[in-house]
Amino acid sequence: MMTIDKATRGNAGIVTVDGRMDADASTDFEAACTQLTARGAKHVVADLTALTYISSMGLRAFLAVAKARQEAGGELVLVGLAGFVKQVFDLTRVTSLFRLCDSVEAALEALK
Amino acid sequence: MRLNGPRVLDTVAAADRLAEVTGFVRASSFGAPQSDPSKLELIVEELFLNIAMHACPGEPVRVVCSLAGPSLVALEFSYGGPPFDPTLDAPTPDLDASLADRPIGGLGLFLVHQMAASFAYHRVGGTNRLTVEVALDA
Repeated sequence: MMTIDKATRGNAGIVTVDGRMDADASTDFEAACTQLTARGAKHVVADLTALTYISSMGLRAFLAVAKARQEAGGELVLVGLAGFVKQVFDLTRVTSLFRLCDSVEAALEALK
Repeated sequence: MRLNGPRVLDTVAAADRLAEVTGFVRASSFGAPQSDPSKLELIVEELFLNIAMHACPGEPVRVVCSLAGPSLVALEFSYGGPPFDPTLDAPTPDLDASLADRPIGGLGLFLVHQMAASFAYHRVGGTNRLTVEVALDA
């Protein structure tokens, strides 16, 4: 079970996920990012502070969104990567493909 | 409650049965100390979805769960489909590729390899059998 909140700040979309990103939730996350960018967001900031679980389907979604942002001249920035989720990112060496920030505010500042 | 002997779940290789399998494994490993069940659940998700999407979609799968040690859960997945050894035959992902060159998939079995205490494949008659042991204390 995962909840997703979406917001927009300037040219960045902010996606906040809470709970477990399993296969179904991964699809929802990717759809939420696509909605934000379709409405004009150049960058996406994903706040993972309250995310407790991720599988390879989640990694797939993060990589797909990051690739699409890069091709569009934007970026997917991660906030609050920690615990089991960080372990999964680290084991697959996906972590180094992202800019990591401690807060959404820091991420928005970095994207300016 | 501690597990006495292996427990068996007969289900179908379909993505919408994942919650049933995860719930079965969680219930069957009660009694084993685990601070965070995420590692066990990730391994179940990766292996079961791989079977459901690639090995034998819609066909029967048997899952056997037992305690192999005080904090070691043993899982066995038996299923049909063509012979395929995911411990050897799955391509190794290129972990050093740049974002543009990095494939988005192929990380599930790699994660199982990294997280499992042991991971083995046997072809028994016409059946594929995966056995995986997961340490719960980490």
